[in-house]
Amino acid sequence: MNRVRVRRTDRILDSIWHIAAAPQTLMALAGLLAGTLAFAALIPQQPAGLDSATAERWLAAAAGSYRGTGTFLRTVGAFDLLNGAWVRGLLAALAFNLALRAASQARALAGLRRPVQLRPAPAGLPRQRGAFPIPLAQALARCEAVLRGRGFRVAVASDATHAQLYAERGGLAAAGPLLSYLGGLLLLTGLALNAAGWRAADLALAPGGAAQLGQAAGTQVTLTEIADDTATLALARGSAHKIIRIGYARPGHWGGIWLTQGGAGPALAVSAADADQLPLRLQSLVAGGEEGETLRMLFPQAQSEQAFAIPARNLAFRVVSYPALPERDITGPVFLVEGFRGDDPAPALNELVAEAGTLALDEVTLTLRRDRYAVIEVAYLPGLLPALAGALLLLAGALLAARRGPARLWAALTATGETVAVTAHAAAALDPGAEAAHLFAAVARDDAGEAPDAG
Amino acid sequence: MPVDALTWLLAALAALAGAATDLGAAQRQRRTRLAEGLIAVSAGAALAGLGWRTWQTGNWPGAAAAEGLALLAAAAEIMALWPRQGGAGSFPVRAFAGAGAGLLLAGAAILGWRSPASAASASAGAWLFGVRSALVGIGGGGLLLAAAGSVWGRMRRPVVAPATVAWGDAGRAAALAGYPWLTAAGLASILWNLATQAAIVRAAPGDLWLWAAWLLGGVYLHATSGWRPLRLPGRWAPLIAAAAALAGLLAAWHISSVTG
Repeated sequence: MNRVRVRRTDRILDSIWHIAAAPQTLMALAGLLAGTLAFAALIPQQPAGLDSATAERWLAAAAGSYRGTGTFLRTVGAFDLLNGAWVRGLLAALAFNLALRAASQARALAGLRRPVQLRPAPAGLPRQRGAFPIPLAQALARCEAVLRGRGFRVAVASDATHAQLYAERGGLAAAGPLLSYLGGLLLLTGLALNAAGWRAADLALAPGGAAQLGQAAGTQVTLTEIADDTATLALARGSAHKIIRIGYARPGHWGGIWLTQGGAGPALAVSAADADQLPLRLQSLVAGGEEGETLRMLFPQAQSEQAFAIPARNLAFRVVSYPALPERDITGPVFLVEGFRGDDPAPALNELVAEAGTLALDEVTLTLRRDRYAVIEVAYLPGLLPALAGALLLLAGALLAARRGPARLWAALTATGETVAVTAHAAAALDPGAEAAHLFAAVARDDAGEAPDAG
Repeated sequence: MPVDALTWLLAALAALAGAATDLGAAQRQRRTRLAEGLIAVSAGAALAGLGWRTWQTGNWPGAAAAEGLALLAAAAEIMALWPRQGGAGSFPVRAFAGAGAGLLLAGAAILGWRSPASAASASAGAWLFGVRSALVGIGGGGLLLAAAGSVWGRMRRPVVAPATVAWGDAGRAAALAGYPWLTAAGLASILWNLATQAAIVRAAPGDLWLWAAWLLGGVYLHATSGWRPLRLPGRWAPLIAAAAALAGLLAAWHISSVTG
């Protein structure tokens, strides 16, 4: 009774194993993943690395643009599909299947190295038949010659009226699928490792500006200079530090930390002093803006206006960045600076500053200097190397698979009177029909045989 | 009309004329060199339009949807003319591919007319972006040719054993030729994202459609493998190939979504 149960359990486990390792499972999972990616391409996806408040605002705006269905889409995680449980589950299942497929492929490759023995053709392979007016021995010799010439190893058994032939070819291309499976597995491993990394997106820094990378144990990144589209960054962690220069599409890295420059724009450095040349404290009027004796105001494309105040003197200033002011014959970028006293809406100061300038209002001297800021993306990618290695293996696998690859061929030759009937089955990764066609062409050589027919 | 749009319009007309000539020849069961010549002229004109844009803007090809479509169409035409990959040597397949390329080039001409080439941008000026775009175009062109071959193969003859794909699929040769390019496009996409966004994959439509096309291309190659027939219904292969080609087309269409 127990033995029966064990056998039944074994059969169930074997079935699960076969299903999990089946190429059809791989196709189904890949198809589902492709469908999911297509769906994600149709719906805006939440950018990576947003803080929770920004992410909330982004999600609310995205859901709002879909009216009635927006709430449902947000609830099911459609706006962050790629980080959701569905995609993670699919990728995990795909990784499991790829591991099993790789093992199965490795076993098949090892099989191609064993001595060739006659074996029956598996069911379901297409077959080709033909009849040729030549002796059996001659037909068999021609078959063997053409197959060996095409790199096959051949096993033959024959008697006076029948001959069986099995031929097998391996070659470098046979490794293509194995490399592809291993490559896919490595790529998925890299993606999984990267999920344990972190990202700090859209760090807008003017020269002298710094940001703490909280996720990286006290690592600080400081923009020391930006010139000619190259940003110079100083990274520091404890006593370790490094200078890195990056530009657009010219990333830098410090170990597993990658830095890229996403963009750049105009910035304005401002400081203020009183009549005794003592510095005054400035307060940015942007929500969460900085406060200090020097302000660095950034002017991204979507925000060309900034404001700051000198609370100790009850003064407020508005600064607008213009790429040019043709009506005032100014063809280059310029800042318009307006100053206001207390609650008076009428500007008490209205000046243009192109590169640098000094402005005075109520015994306060403002010093302004044009600068540039850079938008920095910082990410820790612990899975980068496995992912790149995986992509390279995938490419190698695809290139190998496009070559003349492994093939197997089964042929049965039967002598009937003056003719030989040949029936062949072929299995080949590239073109099984061509392998069978070569065989028949060789048998028919110099002799007027009946045209082979598929059947 | 801008020079590039005009060139693509001429390329579209040449491709459609080549396709019509090929179809006529197929009905008469006679090969003709005229169709090959017309499709070659079309591919040349498509590339000339891309070259004009590159010269005018300093951008690598691919910064706009029109350029993505023209790249893909030109790649499909060149692969259709390649003796070993040209839809398994079947000239009606070339007619299908030529017609598809002609429609894409007509679309590129309309887009190029409505939105003329803009000045150089930082992203489109990077050589890696150009490599990525070219690889997407070549890989997508291979999928377009594979879909044409697969559909034609299905229409041409009844499948020998109804439950299986017999002797492979007529689009398989083109898919095998195009798939390494598409895989290389995926690798270039990873490198591009790393260089510009410090990320491996992005949720940009151009990237998502590229990976969807790559996955569907892999499914198609598995489904049509002659090594171990999978007993799939014969009509599945053209459907998968068509879905892969559509995803490849959308990857080319959204090519500019990865510039930022």
